[in-house]
Amino acid sequence: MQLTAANARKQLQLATRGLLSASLGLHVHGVAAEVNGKMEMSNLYYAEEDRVTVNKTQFYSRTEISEEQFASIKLVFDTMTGATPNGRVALSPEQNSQVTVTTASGFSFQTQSADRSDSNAPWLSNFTDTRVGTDLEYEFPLRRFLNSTFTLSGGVSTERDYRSLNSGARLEIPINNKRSTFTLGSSINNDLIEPEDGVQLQGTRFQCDDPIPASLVSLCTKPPKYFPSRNKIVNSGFVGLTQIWNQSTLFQLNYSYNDINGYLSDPYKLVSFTRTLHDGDNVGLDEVAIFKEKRPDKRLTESVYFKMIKTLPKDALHLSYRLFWDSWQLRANTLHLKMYRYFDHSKYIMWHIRANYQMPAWFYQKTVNVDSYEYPKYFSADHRLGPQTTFTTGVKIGLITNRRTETSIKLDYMEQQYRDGVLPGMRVFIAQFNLYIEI
Amino acid sequence: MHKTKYIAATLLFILVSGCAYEKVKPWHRDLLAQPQAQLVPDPLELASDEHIYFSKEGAFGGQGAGGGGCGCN
Repeated sequence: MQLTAANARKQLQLATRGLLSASLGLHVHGVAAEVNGKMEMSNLYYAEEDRVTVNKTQFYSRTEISEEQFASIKLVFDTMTGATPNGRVALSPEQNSQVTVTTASGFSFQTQSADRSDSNAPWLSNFTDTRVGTDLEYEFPLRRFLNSTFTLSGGVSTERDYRSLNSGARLEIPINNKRSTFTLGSSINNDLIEPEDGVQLQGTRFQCDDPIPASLVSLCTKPPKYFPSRNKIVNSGFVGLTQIWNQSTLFQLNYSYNDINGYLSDPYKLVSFTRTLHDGDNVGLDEVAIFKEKRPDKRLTESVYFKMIKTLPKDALHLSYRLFWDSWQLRANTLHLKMYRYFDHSKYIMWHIRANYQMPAWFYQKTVNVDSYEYPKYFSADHRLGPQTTFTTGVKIGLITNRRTETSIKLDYMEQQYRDGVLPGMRVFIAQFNLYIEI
Repeated sequence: MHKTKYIAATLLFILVSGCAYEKVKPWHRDLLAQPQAQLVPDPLELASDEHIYFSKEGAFGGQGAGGGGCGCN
């Protein structure tokens, strides 16, 4: 094709749109055609082995309302049900696959396997919940300020016992003759936790809401009481740089932080206070009391995220790494590799693998041992704050039925292992179906 | 941790300095304009994945500001 002034201008326009699309994370199809908007619908099915299942439906629409001004809306509907670990002791440290319980005598103990499928096990809690949420965005150009783009956002999400309000802003500045894009972002979340009444326990177990001296644990007879609603505020900041390295390579480097204050504990998570039992040569744990977990009321998280995209005419490699750390001393390293392969313009396959290695928060404990009659100010047995390793792998197949419609299905397998043996490993199956339409 | 921050800052400097990469003209960016070369090829898929990992891990975020919005962690 001969390069004339007209088609050179068109090529420049399309290439610029491509770079801006890369910065904004838009899904661009039909580069040769003008796109006024797009719609996307997805349905996700998430199933843990013998535990939680989730069905999630999402709808997203983005429309150009006037020249270079865009509005978008996202709707989400989740249903969740199943049994989830509540933090009570399930595995004794010496007998990795058995549950220790006390008898009426107090010192002898029976053991039973930590049956993954037993939803009535004392270390599992059953729940059902639904979530409805919506997010809105308005994007417009700031031509007089470095030819940048500004985006305002807001949203609300509500569940039976949780409500979240959020608002944010993002500024994207093309620099270096549009070979680079500098992004600044900020947002605030105001969350309200309204948990249901305290966990009901059977038998002779006592439940206490606040830590009391270990020597008085046996005297703790307070019944479960109504748990008042509490707030959590999250202030977030983000700075990022996207850089075109050469004709086929793009880099992204982000730094983000979250300053979180308020009630940060999980109101349904428990911690077993235990003492060591000796029965002949056998050693186990005696659960003497159960407390609600108690996390600090402040948390500052930071992360550095790096991504490289390398393209070939039909393939694209996405490689990303995230380093996460916070004031709770929790650290995580996450590596994610994706490979796209396009077969002509009508179908593609994507394969990916993700690995996450997490080190625990400083107040995380499988149980609080009170042999020494001392107890910590903060404690949590929530396995999500513990030492864990997560692997995810999957494949996605996409069909582009015409230049403006795409359907895809993605199947993932996820496995999470707990390096301190607090729980049996978790296996998850995830399926996601997407329909994308340009309008 | 300070060492990590210095490494990140150095990477950022290299990216911004512009001295080690090609000066790619806009009409040479056709490969990067393809759908598979977008930073976020599928926003809904990313949102679902991030929600799953937010619910099951202690770490979260990295690709933008904000997060959460549910009682799942």
